[in-house]
Amino acid sequence: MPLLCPTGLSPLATEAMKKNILLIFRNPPFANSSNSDTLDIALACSAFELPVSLLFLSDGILQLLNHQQAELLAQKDLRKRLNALAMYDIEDYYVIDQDLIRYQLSVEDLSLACKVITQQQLAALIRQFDTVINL
Amino acid sequence: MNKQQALALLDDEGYLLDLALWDQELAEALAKVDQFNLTSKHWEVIYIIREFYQEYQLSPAMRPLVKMMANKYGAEKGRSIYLLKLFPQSPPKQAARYAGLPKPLNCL
Repeated sequence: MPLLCPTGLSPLATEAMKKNILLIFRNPPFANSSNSDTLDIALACSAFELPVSLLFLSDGILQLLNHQQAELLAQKDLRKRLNALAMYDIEDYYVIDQDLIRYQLSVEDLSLACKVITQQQLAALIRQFDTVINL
Repeated sequence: MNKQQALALLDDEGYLLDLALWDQELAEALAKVDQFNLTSKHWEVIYIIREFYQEYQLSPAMRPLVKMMANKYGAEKGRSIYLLKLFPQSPPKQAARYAGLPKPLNCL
């Protein structure tokens, strides 16, 4: 059953605006606020029922590692908030195989269940989306 | 706690400044400021929201709140219409206020 639309817009109006969006996380955790901001965008898109996919690219893959000691930096750990994504019906996550190799990681090391694609598939993936946001 | 004391603990938008101060009594006081009556059904939502915050460090928007309610209390209560009847202003915002949590950021 669809959620009541809190904007007061009719479901048809929101349907027409619906575009699929790819959000790219490309910075390591704690580098700046870009990963946190990108996550905020993802959650906001969910409120508008916009379909969102997430790509963790390059150093961005490090955001998905467990056992980060955010308290040592007196910063907030994004991990708990990332775990909320499924509750917002955002469940489409990607990483690139080369980034896994570069950091000697396997998908099991990542806190979200990501699909692994190749560098070649990356271009095709990005082309699938109406909007790509890369902070 | 009188109205003045309760209001002094809130930010401009009516959310608790120091989350650690929250208890049931404070929630009742905040509701009283709004002349709002908290029933056991409201408390179910308030505790769900606090649980969500504990787990995800976020005040939930409508969609995850509905999902949480459905998971815990079943399909009948896991519906936006059910929540809107309890909290007519906006279930995520109003319940977050009484739950002593920050304003949900991604809630319209």
